[in-house]
Amino acid sequence: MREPGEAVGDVPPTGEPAAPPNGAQPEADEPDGTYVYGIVAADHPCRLDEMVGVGAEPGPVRRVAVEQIAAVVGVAPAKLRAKRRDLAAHHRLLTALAEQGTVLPMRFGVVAPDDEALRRQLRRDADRYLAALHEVAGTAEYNVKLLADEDAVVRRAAETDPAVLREREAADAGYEGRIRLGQAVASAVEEALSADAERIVATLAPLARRTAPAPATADTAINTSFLVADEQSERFRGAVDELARALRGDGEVRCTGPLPPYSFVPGDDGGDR
Amino acid sequence: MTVSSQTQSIDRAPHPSGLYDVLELILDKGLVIDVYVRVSLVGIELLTIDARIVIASVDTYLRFAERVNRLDLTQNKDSSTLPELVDDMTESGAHGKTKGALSGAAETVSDAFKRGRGEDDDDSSSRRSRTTRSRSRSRSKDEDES
Repeated sequence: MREPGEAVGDVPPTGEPAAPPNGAQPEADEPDGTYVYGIVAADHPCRLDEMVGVGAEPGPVRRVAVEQIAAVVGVAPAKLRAKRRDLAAHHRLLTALAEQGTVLPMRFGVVAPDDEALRRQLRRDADRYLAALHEVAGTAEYNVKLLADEDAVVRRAAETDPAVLREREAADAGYEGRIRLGQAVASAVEEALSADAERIVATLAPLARRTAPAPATADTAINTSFLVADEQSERFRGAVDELARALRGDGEVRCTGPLPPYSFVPGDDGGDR
Repeated sequence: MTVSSQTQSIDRAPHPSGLYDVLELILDKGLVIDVYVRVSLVGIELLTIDARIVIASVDTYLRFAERVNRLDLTQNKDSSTLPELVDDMTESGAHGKTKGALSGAAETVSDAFKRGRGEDDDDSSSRRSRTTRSRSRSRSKDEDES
């Protein structure tokens, strides 16, 4: 069952006294399990030589295979945290794997106790992973955000929304009056952004195989991911450009991709349970 | 890999500078399996806070009202004297610091980032990402002052 390159980065026995957390010492990254980057089919090329994994002293990136399925893994550093360096390494490695073939990307920070536990898992869920790989083959995720220009949206609400105009007309400078005005503005803003969201999804969803809401973050009024077939990607990008122009008054449309299909793996909110 | 409305350009090559734009996908999406020990990442859960919750608060209403009222001032008084303008600008600047109603969750993202970065070396990707953030910050500042 062992692959040729598999023994290279074997996990040393754990349970040794932890090294002092001194960034200058290589021992700071005392390995602690098997860090899993993603799952691929056995026929994925897996050219891993150039890949750099997580950790201050990243070990070799290798492949743990079971029949039709393989996981791309590395040594997990003992003190794994969501550091910029490691988030970037995770993402970069998966992007490279996705360029070579189809991959199911793991969330950042997934660590198996050891290779054997990982093999058991792969064996047990092989069919499910193969089906998921089949579903995302020949596609990429594109994430589309609208970074709202709040001032512009508020200004437009103040000038055009009937309820807001009514409250401004009333010019009640008391607490209640200001609350009513603010409430009217808030709902006008929300309405405007919902309309933008609908427009984005209505425009892009027909060009995508699947659509998944992405977590709300930052000042993103809208954050949605689309699973786009490779042969549709030109049209999809074109449609994004048009949306960006059309919605310029409300903010910046930002599209990131092609990405590994983070939002379209089994068990995810937007995916199949 | 970022298609922005400003440049209209499409950069085909994936680029680590896009990290900030996909942070929530890397941390909140992707495959997870039961037997796996998922590293506990303090503060990361904050990422999923629904920004819309932030919209519906009295505080927000008052802020919106204040902003609309300020529109009245700036539009009706075409003959603003210089001191008035300066006053308005400083006020706007302070408002920018207390952050807009829609950006409540933004700070949790960068906070998590800061926490996560910890004593980490400042490599080139962190510098790039910081540039992105400061660019967007200065953008909103410009809007405040216009």
